[in-house]
Amino acid sequence: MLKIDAHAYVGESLYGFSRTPENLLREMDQLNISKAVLCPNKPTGYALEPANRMMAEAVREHPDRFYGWVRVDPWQGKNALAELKIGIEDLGLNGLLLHPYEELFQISDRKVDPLMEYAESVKIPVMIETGYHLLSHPLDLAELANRFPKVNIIGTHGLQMDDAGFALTDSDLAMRECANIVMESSGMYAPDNMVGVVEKLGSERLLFGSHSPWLNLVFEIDRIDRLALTEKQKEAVFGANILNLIRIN
Amino acid sequence: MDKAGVRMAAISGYLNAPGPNPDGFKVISDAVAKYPDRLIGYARLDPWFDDRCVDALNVAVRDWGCRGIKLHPAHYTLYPYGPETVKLARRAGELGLPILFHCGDEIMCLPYQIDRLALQCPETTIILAHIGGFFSGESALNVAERRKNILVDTSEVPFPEMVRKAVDRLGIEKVLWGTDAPCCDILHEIKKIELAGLNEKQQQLIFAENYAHLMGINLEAFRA
Repeated sequence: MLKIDAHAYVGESLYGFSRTPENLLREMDQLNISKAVLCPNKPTGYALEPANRMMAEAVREHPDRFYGWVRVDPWQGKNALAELKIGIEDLGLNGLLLHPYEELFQISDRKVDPLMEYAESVKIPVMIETGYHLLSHPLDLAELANRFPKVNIIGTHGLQMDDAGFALTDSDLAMRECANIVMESSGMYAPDNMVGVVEKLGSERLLFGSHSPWLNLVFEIDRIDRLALTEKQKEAVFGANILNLIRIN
Repeated sequence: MDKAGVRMAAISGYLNAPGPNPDGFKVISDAVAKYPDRLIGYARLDPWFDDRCVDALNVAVRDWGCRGIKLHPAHYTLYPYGPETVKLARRAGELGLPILFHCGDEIMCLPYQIDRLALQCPETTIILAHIGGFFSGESALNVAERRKNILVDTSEVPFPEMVRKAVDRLGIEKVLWGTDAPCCDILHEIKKIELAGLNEKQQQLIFAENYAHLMGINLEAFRA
């Protein structure tokens, strides 16, 4: 089965994580993961541009294994939009990555809009680190998704990270309300909710990502392996859905 | 449990007692009565009811052999170190019952809040479920490290590495396995322990022996 990790970080992170693209390739080979969509870690120098360049270089070197998300900080205003354009138009990357927790903004904030307008104009998906309290709660994500119904949005972590389950209902609501949100699976501890998304909303609404190395890649694969889904549904979740979203045949 | 090879489980309900359902413990007490060698019943309680809550515990112990308490302070919205919970926890200590706390990132369930309870109830064993969840893991380890009466359980926390960290910081005897099923998948929770970089003996302690020791369960009887 084709496995694609839609959510794999590379580079040295300000927050203590580190992984080279080569090390990720080794992990992927061991675990039969064909491809990964790379996310640049926020580097110790805080500037995202060098991280985007390093990642784009890895994508250029391994076009059969890697795709890439351009990461920008909405607080940078026009410079963020310029960097996104460079990432998509010059570096050939595949979508926009927003990280409200590490860049510290609320995802429903209007300062995100110019980036979303661009994403809509060039038809790229937007992956959003979701479930961070006060910053990207599921209904914050829904607010943005409702404002940009033509933009495909990938909400990570099952849209929530409340371990008491208090946000699971909001996650369900956001998924039902916003047909343009696709749920990503990393850290999502409630398998019944993921199966419910596939069964009630369609197998194109859930996809596999690891958010490694913050989360454990082996453990995240196991999370999908254990879902009560058909082989066909798992094929969609493990690989086909992300390829469709980044418009790769 | 049979499918996953799990011999025994501590069980609790979804609702607190006392509460709107006067028969709230029935599902637990019936299950324990039916499968006494497989299930260990916990009373899920609401300390807001103060003496009535303590009474409910006494009755649960007397009538159906309740062997532990489950508390989820964000469900009933009380500071875990407030007088109502202290009263209940001290009674639990007298009865020799552990208290399993939901311990994660929610206000009322934070490790440093539960720590203030543990300080006031040194005779009561307190288990921090989920080792602090997504973001409060380090705090959970900090408090479990300094209090003899605080243990952790591995359910739901999304990091296998956190299990290893707990073993290194707290000593293996303070780490218990749990699933939080049916919210979480039992086999996935087993996989977490297998990925934690522990040897077979350490895994055995986490999977069974530590909890058996805490609860006075004779594992030899199973092995015979």
